[in-house]
Amino acid sequence: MSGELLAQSIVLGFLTGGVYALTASGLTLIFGVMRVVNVAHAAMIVMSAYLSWWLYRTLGLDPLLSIFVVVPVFFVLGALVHRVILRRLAGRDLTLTVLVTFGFAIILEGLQGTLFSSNFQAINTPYSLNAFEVLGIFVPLVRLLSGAVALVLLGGLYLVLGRTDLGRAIRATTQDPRSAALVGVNVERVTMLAFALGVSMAAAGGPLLGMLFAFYPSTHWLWIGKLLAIVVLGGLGSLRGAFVAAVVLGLAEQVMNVAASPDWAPLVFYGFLFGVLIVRPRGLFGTLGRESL
Amino acid sequence: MRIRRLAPVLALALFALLPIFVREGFYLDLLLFTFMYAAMSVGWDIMGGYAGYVSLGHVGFFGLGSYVAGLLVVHYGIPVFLSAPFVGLLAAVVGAGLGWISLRARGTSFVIVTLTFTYVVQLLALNLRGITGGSSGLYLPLLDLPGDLVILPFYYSMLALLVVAILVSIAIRRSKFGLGLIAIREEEGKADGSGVNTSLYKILAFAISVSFAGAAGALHAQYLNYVDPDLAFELIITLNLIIMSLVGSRGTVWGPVLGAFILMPLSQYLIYLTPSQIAGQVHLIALGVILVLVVMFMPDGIITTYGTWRRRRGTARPTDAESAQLPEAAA
Amino acid sequence: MVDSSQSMVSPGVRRFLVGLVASVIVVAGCSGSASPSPVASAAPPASAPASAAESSAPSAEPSAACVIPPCDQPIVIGVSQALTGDKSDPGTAIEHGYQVWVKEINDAGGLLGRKVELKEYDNQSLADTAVSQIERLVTVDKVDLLVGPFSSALTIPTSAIAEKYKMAFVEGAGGAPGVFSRQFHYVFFVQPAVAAKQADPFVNFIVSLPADQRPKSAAYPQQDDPFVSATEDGAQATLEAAGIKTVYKQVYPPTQTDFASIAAAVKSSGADIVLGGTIFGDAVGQVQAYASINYQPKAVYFTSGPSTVGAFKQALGDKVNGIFTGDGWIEASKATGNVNFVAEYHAMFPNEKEIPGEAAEGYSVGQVLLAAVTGAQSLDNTKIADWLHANKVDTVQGPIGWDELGRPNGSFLLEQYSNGQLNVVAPSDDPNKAADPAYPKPNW
Repeated sequence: MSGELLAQSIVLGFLTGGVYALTASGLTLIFGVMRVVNVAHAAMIVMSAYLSWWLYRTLGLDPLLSIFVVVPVFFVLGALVHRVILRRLAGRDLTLTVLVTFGFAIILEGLQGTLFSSNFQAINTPYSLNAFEVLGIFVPLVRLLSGAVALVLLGGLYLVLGRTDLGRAIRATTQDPRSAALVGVNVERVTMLAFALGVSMAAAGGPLLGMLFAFYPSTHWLWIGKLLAIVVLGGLGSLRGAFVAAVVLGLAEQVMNVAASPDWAPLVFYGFLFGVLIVRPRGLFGTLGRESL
Repeated sequence: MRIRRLAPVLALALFALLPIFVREGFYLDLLLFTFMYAAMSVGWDIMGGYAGYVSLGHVGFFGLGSYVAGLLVVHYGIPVFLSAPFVGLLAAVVGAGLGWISLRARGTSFVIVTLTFTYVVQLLALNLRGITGGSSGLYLPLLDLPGDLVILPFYYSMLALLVVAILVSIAIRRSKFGLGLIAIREEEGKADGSGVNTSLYKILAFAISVSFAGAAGALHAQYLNYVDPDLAFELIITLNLIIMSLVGSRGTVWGPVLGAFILMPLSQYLIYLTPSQIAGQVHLIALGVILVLVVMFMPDGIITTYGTWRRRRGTARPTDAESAQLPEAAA
Repeated sequence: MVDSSQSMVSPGVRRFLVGLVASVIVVAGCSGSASPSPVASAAPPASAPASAAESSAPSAEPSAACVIPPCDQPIVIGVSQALTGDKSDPGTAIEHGYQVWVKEINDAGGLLGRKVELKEYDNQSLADTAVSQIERLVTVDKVDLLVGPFSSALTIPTSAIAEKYKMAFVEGAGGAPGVFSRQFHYVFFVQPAVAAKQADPFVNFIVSLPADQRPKSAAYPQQDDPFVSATEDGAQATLEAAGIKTVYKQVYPPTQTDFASIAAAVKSSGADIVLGGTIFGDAVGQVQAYASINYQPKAVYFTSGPSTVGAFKQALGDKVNGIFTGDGWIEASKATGNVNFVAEYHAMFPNEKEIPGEAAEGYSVGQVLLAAVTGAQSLDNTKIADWLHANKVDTVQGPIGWDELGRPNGSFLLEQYSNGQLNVVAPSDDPNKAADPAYPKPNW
C-alpha cells in the first residue's frame, strides 16, 4: 500500500468515523438511561435515510437540509413510543424491553419494504460526484460534508448534555436513577427525553449514512453490528468513549478496505467487539460497573 | 394424571404414523418445519425461559450447523443424519465459548454478543470462498430415494429432534440444575449468594440451548440440498423462536411447542390468504407487532396465563396475597 | 418463587395443550384426506391428465380445439415468486412477464384450447417458503405446469422439488452453476446462455484484436454475487489463456457505494481494460470514481447496469459512451414475438417507462412452455421435458435450445454505448447488430 493511499484512508476513516460517532452516541445515550440496548437503533437510521431519500426525490429537498425535518419528526415519535410502550415496561424485566426493541426493528424493516420496496437505494445528489484533491489525497465532497455535519451535531449534543438542566438530569440518571430521583429528578420524564434525543441522533445520521452507503430494508442488521462494536469499545453509556471508538473503528475499517479487502472490513468491528469483551468488558471509558454489563 | 402422561406419547404415535395417511408433501413439509421450529424453540427457552437470558443469535448456530454439516457432506461424504448430533455438539462447544465471553457478567453483553455472533459466522461463510463457496453457496448431493419418500427421513429426524429437545427440557426442569437456572432468572444476586455457580450454570444452559439449533441447521441444509449465506442466517428464524416461546409461555416445557404449533400454521395462513404482492411484508410486520403486543399484554404466554386464570376461577375470591404469589414467568 | 414456577403447568393446561395439538393434527389429517384417495395422491399429480392425453389423438393445429380434458378447466401454472423481500423488484418484473404471456395466450384462445391460469404465491425471497410453496403447488393445488422464481438462490432448492415430482421446471432467472451441477433432467434455463458465458462476446472481441492493439492487462473489481462471479471467472479464464494478465481482482460487498479506494487501486495497477462485475449502482459508482481520478482504460465492460438505459444515462451523462455490457434481450429486438410482447407490456403496465430485462425472461419462459406443450401435445411433464431436450424454441431472447442438463446453448449480445445510445455490436450474425465495437473507448 502506498503512502498516498494510506493517508487517504486515514482522512476518509476519520470523516466516516464522525458519522459513526453521531449515530453511536444516540445508542449509548439510550443505554445510559435505560440500561437496554436499542436493537432498533439502526432500523431507525435506515428509516430516516429512506425518508431523506424520499424527500429528495419528491420535493428535491437536499439531504443535508432534510436533517431539519427528520430530527424533529423522530424526536416526537421517540417520545411517543416511550410514553405509549416503553414506559409501561419500566421497572419490569429489562429483557422485555430488549424484545420490544427487537420487535420495533422487525416492524420498521417490514414498513420500509412495503413503502420503498427492497431495492438498494442511495441518496445521490448532483454534488455526490464531486471530489477535490489536497496533497495527492482525494476527498469526496460528501464525505467531508457529512463528517463536518456530524461533528457539528455532536458538538450540539455535548452542549445540551453538559450545559443544560436536562443534560445534568440525564447524566445523573445515567449514573444512578435512584439517587437522581432522590435529588428531585423526574426520572421517567428524563428517560423519555433521553430516549427521544437518542432516536433523534439516529435520525440525524440517516441522511448522512444514506449519502455514504447504499441501503435496503435489512441493512440495519449490518449497521447495528457496527454500532454495537463502537459502543462496547467505547464503554456502554459513555459518550466520550463512543466518539473515540467510532473514530478508531472508522479508521481501522478504511485501512482494512485498502490493505486487505473491502469484504473483510466488517471483521474489524466484530474483532474489536469480541476482543474488548474478553479483555476489558467495560470498554475504553466505561463508567458502569461490570455488574450491569 | 394418567391421561396427562399418556397424551404426549399418543401425540408422538400419531405423528409417527401420520405419513402413512398423509402423503401430500406440503403437509409433511409444514409439519417437519413445525417440529424443527418447536425443537429449536424448546432449546431457546432453556436459556431464554429458564435462565431468563434472551438470545438474539440462535440463527447464528443454525447457520453454523448448516455449513458444518454441508461441508462434511460435500468434502467427506458424511451424511447429515450421521453428523447432525455431532454438529449439535459442536454448536454447544462454540456456544460455551461465546457464553464464556458474555455470561461471566450479568446482563447486556449477552444480547450484544449473541446478535453479533450471527454476523461473524455469516461473514466467514461469505468470505472464505475457497471452503464455503462464498455467495454462491454450497450444493449438497441429493438423497438417493424415490421422489415421494425423500421427505420422510427429514420428517422423522426433525420429529426425533423435537422429542430429544422435550426430554432434555423435562430433565432440566426436574433437576437441581434447572432450579438453579430459575433462581438465576428470579434473582441472580441471591442465586449467586446461595452457592449456585451462576456463570457455569448459564454457560452450560446456553450450550445446551444452541445445540438444537445447530442440529436443526444440519438437517435443514440437506433438506434444501443447499446452503447459502442468506438462507442460513435469516433473522426471521430467531424471531420465530422467540415469538413461539413467548406466545406459548416462557420457562415451561410445553410452551414453545404450543407456540410453534400455533405460529407455523398461522404464518402459512398469512402467506396464502393475503394478496401475494404484499404477503411478505405483512408477514414481517405482523410478526413484529405480535412480539410487541405479547410482551406488553401477555408476557406470561398462553400456558401460564391460562393456568393463572384457571386457578383464579377455581378460587371463589382470590385474595391479594394469593395473586401476588402467582408466577410471573417472564419476570 | 421456585415452587410456584414449578407448578406453572397445571393438569388443566396440559389437557388444553394436548387438545390444541390434537386439533392441529385433525386439521392436517382432514385436508390430507380431501383428495379422493389419500394413497393414490402420492403419485405425481400430473399423471392423471397425462394419461388422458395419451388416449386422445394429437391435433394438427396448436391452440385450436381442446385436446386434453377437462376442457372446461383452465391449465394451471404454478409459481412461487419473490414478490416481497430482498429480491422483490426483479421477482415482480419476471412475474409481470408471466402475466403478459398469460393474457396474450388467453386472448388468442388459450393453450391447447384451454384457458391458462397462473397460481402464484409470494415466497418473500425466503428459500424455506419457496420450497413449501412448490410442495403445495404440486401436491395440494396439483398444478399442471411449474415455472421458476427469481434468482439462482431460490431456483436451486425449488428445482430439486420439481425434479423429485418429475415436473418440468422452466425458469428464466437461475443460471448459476449450482442449478446444473446436480444433473437434473427437468430444469430448463431460459436465457441465451449460462452466467459464465455472459461476457463471451466481449472476450472474443478483445482476443480477436490485432496483437499490437490488444490490451496486456485487465482488472476485475466485482461485487460479491453468484451471477457476477460466474461471469467474471469465465471471462478471466479466457482472457488469461489469451495472455492478458490479471493485475487487479477484488471482491466488494453489495453495500459498497464508495469506490474511491477501489478506483485508486485499479489505476495504480495499470490495467488496460476493466471488467466490472456489477449490478447497477456499483457500475455507476465505479465510472464516477475512475473519471474523478482521470483513469482512462481502453475498454470497460460491466456485467449488469448499463442495460438499464434511462437510469444509467441519467446518472452518468456523456460518460456512458464506449461502455460495454452483455445482455440477453433489448426492447428493440427483432426476435420472435418481441413486438407483441413490448406493446402488450406497455399496455398492461403503463407506468413503467422501461421494460426490465427480467420481464422479457419471464415472457420467454411462457413462450417456451407454449412451444413445449404444443409440441408434445401433452401436459405430461416427462414428455414436455423430453421435447425440450430435443428442440429449439424461438423466444424474445432469440432461439434457445438446451443440453442434457438444461443449460441453454445460445449466445448473449454484446452492447456498447455510442452517442448516448446503447447498440448491439456483436455477435456479427445477430439480426439486431447495429454497429461495430469501438476500441479504444473515448476518454470519460
